[in-house]
Amino acid sequence: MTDTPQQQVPEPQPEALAPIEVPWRRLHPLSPLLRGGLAALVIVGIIIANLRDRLFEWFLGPETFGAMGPSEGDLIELLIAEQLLLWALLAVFAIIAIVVLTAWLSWRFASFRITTEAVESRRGVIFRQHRRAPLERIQSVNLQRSLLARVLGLTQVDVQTAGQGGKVALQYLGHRDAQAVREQILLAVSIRAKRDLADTAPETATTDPRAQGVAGPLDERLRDLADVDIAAAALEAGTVVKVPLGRLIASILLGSEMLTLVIIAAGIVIMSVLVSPAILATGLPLALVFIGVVIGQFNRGFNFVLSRAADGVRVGAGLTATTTETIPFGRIHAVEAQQPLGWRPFGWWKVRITTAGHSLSQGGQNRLQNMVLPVGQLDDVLRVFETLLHEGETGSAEREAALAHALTGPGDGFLKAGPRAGWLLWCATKRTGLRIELAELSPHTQQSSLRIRRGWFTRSLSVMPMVRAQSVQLSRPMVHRLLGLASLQVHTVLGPVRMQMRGIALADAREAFTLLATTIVRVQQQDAAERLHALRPSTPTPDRLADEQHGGSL
Amino acid sequence: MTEPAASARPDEWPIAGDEWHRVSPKYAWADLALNLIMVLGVAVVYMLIIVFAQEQPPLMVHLIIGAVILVLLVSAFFALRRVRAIGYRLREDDLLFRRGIMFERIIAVPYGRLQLVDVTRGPLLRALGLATLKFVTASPATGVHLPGLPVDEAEALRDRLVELAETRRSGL
Repeated sequence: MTDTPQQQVPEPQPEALAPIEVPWRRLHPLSPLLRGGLAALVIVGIIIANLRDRLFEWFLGPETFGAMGPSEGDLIELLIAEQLLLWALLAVFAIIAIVVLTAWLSWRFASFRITTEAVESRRGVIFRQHRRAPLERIQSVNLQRSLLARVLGLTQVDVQTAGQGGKVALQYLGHRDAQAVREQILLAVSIRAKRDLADTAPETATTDPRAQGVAGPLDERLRDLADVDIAAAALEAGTVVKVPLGRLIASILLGSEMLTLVIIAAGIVIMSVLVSPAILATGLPLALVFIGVVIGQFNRGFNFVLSRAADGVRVGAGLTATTTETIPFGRIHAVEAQQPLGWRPFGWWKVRITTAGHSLSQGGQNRLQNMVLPVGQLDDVLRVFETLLHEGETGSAEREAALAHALTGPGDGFLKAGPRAGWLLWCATKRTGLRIELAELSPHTQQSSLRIRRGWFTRSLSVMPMVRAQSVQLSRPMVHRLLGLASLQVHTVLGPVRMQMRGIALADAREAFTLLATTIVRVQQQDAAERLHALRPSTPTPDRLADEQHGGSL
Repeated sequence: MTEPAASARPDEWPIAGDEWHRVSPKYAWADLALNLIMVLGVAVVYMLIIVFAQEQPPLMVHLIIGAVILVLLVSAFFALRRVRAIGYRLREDDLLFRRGIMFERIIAVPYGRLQLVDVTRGPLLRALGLATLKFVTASPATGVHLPGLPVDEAEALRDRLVELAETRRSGL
C-alpha cells in the first residue's frame, strides 16, 4: 500500500489517450462508525436497558426513585457493594479503546483504486480481502445512501459486475467525493470500451484524494442530504423524466397490489359476517404485509428521476434511503412497460429493465427492483425507451410512433396468437403479439430488436435488443400440443423481464424460431466484428487484441 | 433419419429432417433403472405403511400410491423413446438442442454465448461409460444439457464447443 497517494503519470499511449488512474486511497474516516453503527446501537441499547433504574435516579432525583423501591439486580449497586467500581470502569475504557482501535484499523486497512483495467478494493486486517472488478465487466455503478449515511453526509458506491454477487462496495465516501469517484469509474469504463475516443480528457482524475467533505459547512451538508443527483448534462438538455408526488400516490392507490388488497379485505369482511367474526383476525398480518409493500413502493418511487448521463442512464429515488443507479449504455438486456387495469383510464405505465449482475439471491432484482420508471405518461415511457435502447442518439419521431402504436394500438404488424389460443390466453388473446424488428443497415445492427405484447389485466410490451439474446426456445407443453400451438421464448440473463409469447400457431412459431435463431447469430457476429474493428487502430499488438477478445465477453 | 420421434416428419419442420446427433441408447437403461428404483422405493413405503399401520389406512393412501406407481411405470415404458428424442446438432453458428416427446422443446444457442461447458459423470452413468454435458450461458433458463453421451464423444464435443465459442465470441 502506498502511504502517500500520488497521481501516477499515465503511460504514453499510441493514440495519446490518457487512461484514468486513481492510485490506492482510503475511504471516509467516518465509515467504520456507519459500518459498525448497528452493532454500536445495540450495545448502547443493552447498556441503557441495564442501567435504566440508575438513569432514572440521576434524572428524576432520589425521591421519585425511592418511591419505586430499590431495584435488586442493579449492576452498579452490586459493583459498589463489592468495591469493584474501579475495575469495572477500567474494563469499560478498555472496551472503548479496543472498539476505537478496531475501527481505526479497519479504516486504515480499507482502500480502493481505479486502474486502466479494473476497480479494486482491499479491506480487512486479519482476513484480508482484495476484490477486483474488471472495467469491461462493470454493469452499473450505484450510489446508495441509508438515512444514517445521509445524516452523516456519506454515500456508498457499489460497482456491480455481471457475476453472481460480484460487486465491489466502497463503504463509505463523502457524498461529493462518491459522485466524483462514480464519474471516474464510468469514464474509465467508457475509455476502456472505446480507446479511440480521444477527446474525452480525464480531468476528473485529478481529484485530490484528501479533499473529502468531512467538515463541510452545514448548508452544504444539508444540500447533500437532499441531493437528487441528476446528471448535469441531462439537466441542461432537458432529457429528464420525473414523477410528480400526486401521480405516484394515485398510482399506488390504483395499482394491482392495492386492488388485490381491497379484494382480499372485502373477502375477509364478508366471511367474518357470514361465518364468524374471528376470521377478521387473520386479516391483520396480511394488512401489515401490504402496508409494507405500499410503503416500499412509495419509498422507491419518491423523488424519482431518470436522466441521461454522458456514459449511461442514471436512475435515482428514495425517501429515507436513496439509491442512484448508473447503467452504462449497452448493458441493458430487456425493457418492459406494464399497465395495470386501474392505470388504464389515466394512460400510465411503469417500466422495468433486466441488466446483468443482479445476484440470484435477490431474484435478479436490485434495490430499485429494476424500476426505471415507477409511473409515467405515454410520453415519458417513449422517452425512457429511447434513452435506454438508442444510446446517445436523438429521438426519431418515426420510431416513437411505432413504439406508441405497439404500446396502445391494435398491434398491426405483430405476429398474432394462433387459432384456439383463446383457451390459453383468455382475454389477452387479442393483444398478444410478437414482432421482430430488423435493422438491416450495418451501423444500426444493434438496434434489431424483439417486441412482445401481452396481457389484458396488466398490459405489457417487452423489448429486447437482439444482441443481448442468450438463446431461443420453442416449446410445446401439453395444452399447447393439444391445441396445435407452440410457445416461443428468448432467454436473457436473470431479471424481471420475460421474453415469452405463448399460444402461437405451430407453423408461425417454427418460422419465427428459425428467423430469430438466424437473426441473433447474424446480429451478434456483426456486433463482435464492429467492436473488433473499433479496437484495431489503437491496439496494434495481437496480444492486446486477444486479451480484449476474452475480456469483452462474460 | 429413421427414428419415429415425434418431430421427425421432414415436411413439417424444416430443421427436423436434417441430421441429429443422438445420445447413446444405453442412457435409456440408466433412465429405466432410475424409474424402477423409484417404483421400488414407493413400493417399500407402501409395504411399511401396510405392515406397521395400527388400523386400516384410508382408501386415499392406496389410490395415491397406486397412481404414483402407475405414472412411474408409464414413464419407464417411455424411457427409450424419451432418450431417442434427445438430440443436438452443430450448425454453422449455433447449437440446436431438443428433447421431449410429450413436452417437446427445441433450443438454439449461438456458440458465442457459451460461458462454460460442464462434463459430469455420476456413478450410474460411469458404470455405463457415459457422461452428461451441460452448455451454460449467462441465462439460467437456457438449460441445454445432454445426458448420456459416451465419454469420448462428450469430451470431443466439449473441446469442439469451446473451440467454436473462441472463434465466435460476442459480448454479454
